[in-house]
Amino acid sequence: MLNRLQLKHHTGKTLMMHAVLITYTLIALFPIVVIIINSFKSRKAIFNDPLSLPTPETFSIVGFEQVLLRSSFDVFFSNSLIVTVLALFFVLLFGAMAAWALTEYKFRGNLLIAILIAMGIMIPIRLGTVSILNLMADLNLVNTLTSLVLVYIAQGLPLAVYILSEFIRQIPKELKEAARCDNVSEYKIFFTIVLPLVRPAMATVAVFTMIPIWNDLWFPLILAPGDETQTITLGVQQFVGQYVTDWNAVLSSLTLAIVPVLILYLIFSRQLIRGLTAGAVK
Amino acid sequence: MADVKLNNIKKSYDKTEVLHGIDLDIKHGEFVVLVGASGCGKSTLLRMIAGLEDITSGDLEIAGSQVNNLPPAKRGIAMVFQSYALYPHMNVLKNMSYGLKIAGKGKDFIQEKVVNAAKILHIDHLLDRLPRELSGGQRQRVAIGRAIVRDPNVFLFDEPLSNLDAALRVQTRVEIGKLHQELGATIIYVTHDQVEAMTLGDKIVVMNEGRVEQYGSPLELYQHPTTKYVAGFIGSPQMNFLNGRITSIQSDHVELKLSNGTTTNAYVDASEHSVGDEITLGIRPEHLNEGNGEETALSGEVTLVEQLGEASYIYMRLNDDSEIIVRASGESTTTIGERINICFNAHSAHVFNSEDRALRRLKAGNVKSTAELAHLKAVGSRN
Repeated sequence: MLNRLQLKHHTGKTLMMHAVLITYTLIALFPIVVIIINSFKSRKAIFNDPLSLPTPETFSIVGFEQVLLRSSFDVFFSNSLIVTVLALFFVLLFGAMAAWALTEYKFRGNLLIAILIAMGIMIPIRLGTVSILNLMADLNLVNTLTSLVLVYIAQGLPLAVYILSEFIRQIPKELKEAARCDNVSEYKIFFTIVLPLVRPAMATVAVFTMIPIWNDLWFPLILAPGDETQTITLGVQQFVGQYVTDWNAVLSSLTLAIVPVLILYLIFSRQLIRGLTAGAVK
Repeated sequence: MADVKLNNIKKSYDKTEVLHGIDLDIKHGEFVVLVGASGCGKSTLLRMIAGLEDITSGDLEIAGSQVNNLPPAKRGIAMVFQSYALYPHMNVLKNMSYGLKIAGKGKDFIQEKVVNAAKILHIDHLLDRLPRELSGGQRQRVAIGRAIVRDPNVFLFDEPLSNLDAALRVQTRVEIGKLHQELGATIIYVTHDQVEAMTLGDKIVVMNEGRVEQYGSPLELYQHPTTKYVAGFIGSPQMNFLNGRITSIQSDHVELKLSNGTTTNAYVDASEHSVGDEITLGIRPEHLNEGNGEETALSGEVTLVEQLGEASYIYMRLNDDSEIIVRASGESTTTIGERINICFNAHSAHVFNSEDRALRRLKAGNVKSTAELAHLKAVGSRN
């Protein structure tokens, strides 16, 4: 009897949990779904009934045509991709290296550096926009992708170092000692033993780092607004006019912009899941 | 030849000294076991020999050259950790070959080494498994295999059996013993388990609070402990201690009066002591018998009986409230609350002075020399 009650209670709890999660998922997905379905509709249909699915009458890919054929969408797209991937790569590399150094080695100034990095999490990088712009102007980097990559590395590093330090600290010290007895150099220990073991954490950091970079409008607008260096979020703005907005084009380019992040996310989330199940090592 | 010499090795963390000058001389091929209660510094000492901890002062020599400042890999040692420390993302083959690969050895050479080591340890069918797919005992063997392939001068074992269950521990212990015979390598082995120490070691180093209490063969430590600490540490259950005084000193024995009034002889050299000195009499539980059959008898009340089958441990309280343990025969019918007599032969008594140092025993123990023991072991392993 008691067991049955408990079971009932348990399923009730599970139902509740799922209800909450499903509601949240619906709310989160709603705008994205609206963007995607409306990108395949004619302008009139978008305004008449924004929530309906495209029908044979209302179906139109005029937005995609506009974006792909009559704008430099490919340039924006590759700019975004280059900036995101490069920044991501360096955030992960330098973040993991810094985390390893800060947790593994005792040196003068260790604590000071750790505190500085922790402060980086709390202070938004946008507060320094003016100085960053001055700096980039002095370095002749305005209107280059390099400036964006550099800024995003700085933006992503603090959190990356913070999260990765926690994970690296959990690696048993015997593993590193065994490697040292095996004459493995410190660099090799880092790349062949530490990195593979914190892969799940790296995936988490990658997701957290990647999305704000891909979606950022602020720094592309300020540091790289030139025709050749616009990122996709900035490029979309050309369809948004003061008086007329080409909604077909806006929605189509946003739809296209979702694709690469989705792919990157799928890659990393698979790592996440594998990392969680592969952790059962004594 | 891989002798290991420790010369006045000291270790301090900030201002706290944890090792107070350790001197050891370990000959090539010896199996030396470091034992002691937790916190006595035995693991720290091992890690210092491995090069994982700095040596604060003193000299460490391996194979004739000073290695104080060499990194672990340059010392010709291989260490087996308590937690195995296998690389979790590499399979057994890679785990074992990684060190050789780093050393830039050829593929064929590595393959041969690893397969040989795997055969010795009976893990050749597991080479493509990941550590998480192995049982505790198999993981331990892989860890040992990883040490073997490196052909080290000295093997260092840090409590390698603590994570195994009881049955596997005995089995692996035997295997480590055999491995030592096969490889003939110098082994330094840390444990807190005195059975491991007694069974495996050619020599045992008993450590206490950062000092070496005694260094000798297992039987030497059992029969001639030089301090009360060693006497209590080696042997299970622990040696019984009874307070008393010297009442008479003869050339080959002393007469003692214990605090419960019993008088007894003990065959020790008391030439540096005088009548009336306070002493502690030590007698092992296995040297006590029920009844009155031997020279010296004690009586008391039984407070607990533990029956192990092959023997029964009888805990009893004497008249003066001192507690002692008797290892009686397994067929003993003694029960709690009974008053019984127990007795012992004065030849098996140990005597410690007020500074806890042992008085030399004159008629006990026929300690075999290390050479004799080695011979016996060799004969034993051939059979």
